Amino acid sequence: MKNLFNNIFLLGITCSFLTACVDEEFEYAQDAESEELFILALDADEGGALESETDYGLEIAFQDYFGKLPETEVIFSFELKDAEGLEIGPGDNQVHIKEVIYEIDDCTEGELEFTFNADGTGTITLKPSAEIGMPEAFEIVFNLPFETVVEEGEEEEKALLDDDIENEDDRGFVFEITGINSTNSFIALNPVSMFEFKVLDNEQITAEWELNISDESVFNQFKEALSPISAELAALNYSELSAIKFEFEFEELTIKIELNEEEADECDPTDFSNKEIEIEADFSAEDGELELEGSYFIFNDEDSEVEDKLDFILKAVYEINLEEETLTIKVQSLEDEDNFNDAAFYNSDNAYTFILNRD
Amino acid sequence: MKKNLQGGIIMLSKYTFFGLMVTCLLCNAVLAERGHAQNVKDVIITVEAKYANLAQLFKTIEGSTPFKFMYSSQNISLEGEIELENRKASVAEVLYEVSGKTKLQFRQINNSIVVTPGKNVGSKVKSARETWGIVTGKVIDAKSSEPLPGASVVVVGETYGAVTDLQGEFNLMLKTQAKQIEIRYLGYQTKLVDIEIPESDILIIGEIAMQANSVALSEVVTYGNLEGQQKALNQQKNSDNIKNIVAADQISRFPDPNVAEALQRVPGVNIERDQGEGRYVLVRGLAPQFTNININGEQIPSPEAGVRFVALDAIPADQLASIEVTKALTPDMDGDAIGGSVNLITRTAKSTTPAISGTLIGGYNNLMEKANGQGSLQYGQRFGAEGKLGLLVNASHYYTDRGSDNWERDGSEFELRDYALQRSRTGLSGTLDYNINANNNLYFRGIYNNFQDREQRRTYLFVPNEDDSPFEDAEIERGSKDRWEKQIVSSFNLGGKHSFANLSLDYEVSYSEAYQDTPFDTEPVFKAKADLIGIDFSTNPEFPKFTVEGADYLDNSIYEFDEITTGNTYALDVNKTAKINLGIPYKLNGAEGLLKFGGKVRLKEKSFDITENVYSWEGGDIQINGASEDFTLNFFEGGLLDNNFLDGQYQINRNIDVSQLNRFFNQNRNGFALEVEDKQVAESVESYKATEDVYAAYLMTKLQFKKLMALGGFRYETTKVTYNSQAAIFDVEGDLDRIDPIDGGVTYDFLLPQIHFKYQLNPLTNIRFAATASYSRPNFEDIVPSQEIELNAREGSIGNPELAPVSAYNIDLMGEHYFGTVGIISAGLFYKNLDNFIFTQRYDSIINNINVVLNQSRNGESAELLGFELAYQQNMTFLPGALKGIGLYANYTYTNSLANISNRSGEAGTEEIRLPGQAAHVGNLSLAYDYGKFNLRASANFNGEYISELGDEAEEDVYVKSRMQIDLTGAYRITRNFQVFGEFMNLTNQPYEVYQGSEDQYIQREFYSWWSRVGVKFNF
Repeated sequence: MKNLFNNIFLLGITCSFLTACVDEEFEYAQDAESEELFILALDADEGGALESETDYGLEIAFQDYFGKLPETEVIFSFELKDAEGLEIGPGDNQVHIKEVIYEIDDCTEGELEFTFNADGTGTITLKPSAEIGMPEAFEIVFNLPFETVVEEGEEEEKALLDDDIENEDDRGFVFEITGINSTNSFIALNPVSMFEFKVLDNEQITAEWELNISDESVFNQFKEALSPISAELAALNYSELSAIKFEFEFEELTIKIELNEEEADECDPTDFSNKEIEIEADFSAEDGELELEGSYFIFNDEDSEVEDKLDFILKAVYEINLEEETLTIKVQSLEDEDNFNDAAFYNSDNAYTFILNRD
Repeated sequence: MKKNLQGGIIMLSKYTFFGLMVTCLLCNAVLAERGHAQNVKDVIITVEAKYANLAQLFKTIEGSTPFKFMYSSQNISLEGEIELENRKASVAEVLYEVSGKTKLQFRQINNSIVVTPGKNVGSKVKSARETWGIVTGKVIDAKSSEPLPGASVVVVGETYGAVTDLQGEFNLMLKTQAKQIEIRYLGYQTKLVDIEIPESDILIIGEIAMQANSVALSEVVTYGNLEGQQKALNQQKNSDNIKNIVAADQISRFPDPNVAEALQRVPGVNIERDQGEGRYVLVRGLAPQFTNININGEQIPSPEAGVRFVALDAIPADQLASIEVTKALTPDMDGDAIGGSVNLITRTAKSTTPAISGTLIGGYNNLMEKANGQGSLQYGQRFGAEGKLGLLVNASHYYTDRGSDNWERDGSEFELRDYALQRSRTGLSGTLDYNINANNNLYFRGIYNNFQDREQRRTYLFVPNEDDSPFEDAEIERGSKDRWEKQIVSSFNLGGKHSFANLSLDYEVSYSEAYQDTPFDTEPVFKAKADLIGIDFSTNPEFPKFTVEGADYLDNSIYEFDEITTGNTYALDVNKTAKINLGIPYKLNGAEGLLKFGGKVRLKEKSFDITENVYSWEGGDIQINGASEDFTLNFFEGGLLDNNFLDGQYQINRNIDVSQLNRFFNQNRNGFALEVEDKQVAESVESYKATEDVYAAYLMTKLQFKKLMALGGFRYETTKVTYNSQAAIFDVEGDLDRIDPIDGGVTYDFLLPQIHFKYQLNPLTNIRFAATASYSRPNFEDIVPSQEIELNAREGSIGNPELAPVSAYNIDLMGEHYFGTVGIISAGLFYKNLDNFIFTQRYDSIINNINVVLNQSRNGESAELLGFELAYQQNMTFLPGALKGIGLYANYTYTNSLANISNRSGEAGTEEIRLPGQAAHVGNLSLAYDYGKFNLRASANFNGEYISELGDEAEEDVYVKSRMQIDLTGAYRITRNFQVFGEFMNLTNQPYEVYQGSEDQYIQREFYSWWSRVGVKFNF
């Protein structure tokens, strides 16, 4: 009987040792380093160019990675498809791939081999270059329909899509990476493999506009309206100014403030152009309402170095006069992360009004 | 006076000489190939025919045999030529011949040959002056034959005596005129033993059996005699310094599965909890880093990165024989313990009768509605005719499914946290010891603890757009955490203890290792936007209410994937230690003294490695169930759903199943983008390697003047620290600029004077006083010079390799009275003055010509701590009838502290704060009743409120609110070998509560409900 008791308890203890353990079952996430993937991704899944443009570049880049890129050749297969309001093909008046380039340095570009078939399919071969090894990124340059005209004795490319009417139908195409082929299984493509291109209609807000600054008071208004988000503008005098241009592109606005002062091109010291101050923002324009969202740097008073980066929102209403080719923007409010609602830089139905002319 | 001093010095010199001789003997004994001494009759030597004196002969014998001669140069003259006939003979034959020619007597004790004068000579010497001899023996329990450590052995008619060690053994140098010794032991009948000691000789009494006091009752019988606690209190009573000792049987009377929880019952100790279970120990109101944690007398390393203190929930309580909490250090102890020193003592085999004991426990957690279990098995036996070889192996395993329902507040944000945990605690310990003889013991001890914690945390975080900012959204974040953490703490000690007539020696080498391995830790987050989130913290601060407009927060399809963090960490801490202690007894003016000195080396290596990957999703719509869908939570929900979260106060939905999401991750890695820069920064800044070499030496002496014991001495410790880490520097635009390697090191020294007095009012009452110096090393996370500096934000944090340890002097006054049964009443005052107190300082600096504000741990401020503690423990056997079964265990500690830190308001000067971790009131009250075979105990543990975190200003200080947990235990002894018991913990569902600023501003409330265990204990 005593032995039976002993056996039962010893068995019980043994069982408790064997059975009651922390559950170690777990689906481990693959390791970022030992199983590192080198992922190639499209820069965007949609974009567009003004109808006056004759080409457009789409970047494909490796996402952030450790160490060194594998120097294994990668062949992309692609397809241009779903053309609307234009044709796909090898001609100048058709959409095709003009070139595939990569950056060797700030002033030098290299080209990747590619093939393009009339049906819109083709391949791009990514391989290491002698100068920089495997490129971290490359740009596919699409040819947009154009014709060559001679003006004042010089040949110029004239965009065939550039018209003077407001186009109600969409014009564009789709570019899709249909596959990649490499002997290195750790090179992968981001699942977002399709890029949708749209032609931006100049008869809408998407165009290049210029603010007439012949009157200094216009500049002063402009400066007052936007200097809270641009320290460079705040420090600018009218006498330094050459022009102010608003470039509305695909969901992005760049306000370029051209100065009288010129500077040499970084890559060509003999080529001079006006210095520019830029204010960049994403924009949405719908039903006459315009909203800009961007960010700007705050500089330290003592050392003049960047101290912070704040988001801003500028709200306005706009109106386009097709006949006079003008864009009227009534700026209503400007807020940033530290100054909003009652503390906004300004907030009024008609705080500042600017009339821009199509450039 | 001068003569007495001279006599004392001569006596000291004499015994120092004896001590050195015995040391030599010991070395021979230890290094000898054979484990036991040879007999003088068996060892053949060759000697010269003639020696100029006996000293030369002795030298010859010592040189060619393992034997060493012991004699008093004052009693024995070695002068005079001697001729020998037996040129080649046994040592015994040679000495027999010498004895015949010189009238000297020889007696072999192990490898020692004690030389005494012949009877005729001896009588002359005796009459001339006082003579001394040695008594050794072992005090055991008459019934169980187990040794009784801490027994008081006093020479009748004299004021001096000895205390038995952990093996129940004692050595006592006494006048040969002494005729009786008295042995006292709490809970036992006092015993007188007649002795007759030959001059300059050793009397080995052997075992002295003590009879326990029997409590003869008609109905009430003593239940679970707490023999271990009797031993513990005896040790506590007879110890030289202020300490509390809790024995295994006392521990087992409370429902405390781990060491931290067992320690909460000790006066002056409170604990920090994790998920309702005790984890860190705070002694006398000082944060965990101020307490030194040891296993078998050796510091154990911390498995956690960055800190020194040990999470004691990793160690099962049933692995231990006893716990010692020392509150006043002696010079032979490590000096880096301002709060106190906790020593966890593992078990040793006691008897030649095999002892097998164990427990089998099953339990239930009400919150999780799941079972828990525990099993332990212990085997111990001494082998050989004299039980010289002892082996004890103890294994235990504990498993529990725990959980908690929790809400937290951070500013305007409100979070619901639902925890589910699986925890196991496995312990394996063993002791192999060999008693060469009554006075020489070799041992090997090992302990291995494996604590595993699988935590699954599911959260709802409500983030209102407090300022109605157009740049922010009202958001709800859903997070799941699945983390498996293993803490392994192991320690191995190899050493020996030797007691000789005039010297005691112990030495030890040990290796201890602790690591924390987190093989996986994954936290995905999904987010949803809402039009408006309102949170009302004021109407019902205990359970704030929230409203969500524009989104159904229970609909999992509104939550879109935000990010997933995966990673693992590995922290390692290794200690290699060697130490030696020598004790030389001496007499000074009739007072018995002990001169003790020794040294220690501890080499530490500590490192931390981390892998942290944060991914966002860049893959657009996901392909799931054959369709293209938004990446939302509803496709990855799983796991437990608590339909009664926080007792029904809040409704929650099923959360993310992390494994399911990881499967998707592995199949779709090309859609996830790794935050490479964040990974580089986290892994380089947080990881480090460090070494810390400590060299220590001490000299101390103890003197027993009649009823007064004085102990004083110095300890010197020098510490050399080196580090390898990295610094991350960000550019002005906030991007990572570079990561620089940083190497550093620092050396510091401490000389720590310490003095203790113990005055024995009567055999059961002591008054103690101690003035000690101690220090506390900074945590590694504070001193490793890693740095993370964000130039764009103009702030950063930076380690401080120059950070000095906190130093302190401590005053303790304690009165204690022990009861004849297991009981004590004590009261004590303590005061601590801390210098170089470490605090976090913000200061201006210039890096790359840019002004930045840096956070860095710094020295420079002072702190004071004053308190008193009361303890009472008694079995009321003096009460009539059935009331005899009542037992009371109570203690209370009040502490007040004042620390100066730089003024947080920005003004110049300092401000006064309470020390973080210091609770004003800490206490225990436990009422027990023994009736027949039944035992019932209700226990309450009270932890007063304390500051857990200092804010940027006083209003932001974070407090842990006071908490009182009530537990109930009951047991019934079925037979002599079997006992069943039940434990019910946290009967009142006491939450863990944290508030900020004012008491009604809760920022956390965490509930665990009650849990229980029912089991059987057996022993054969």
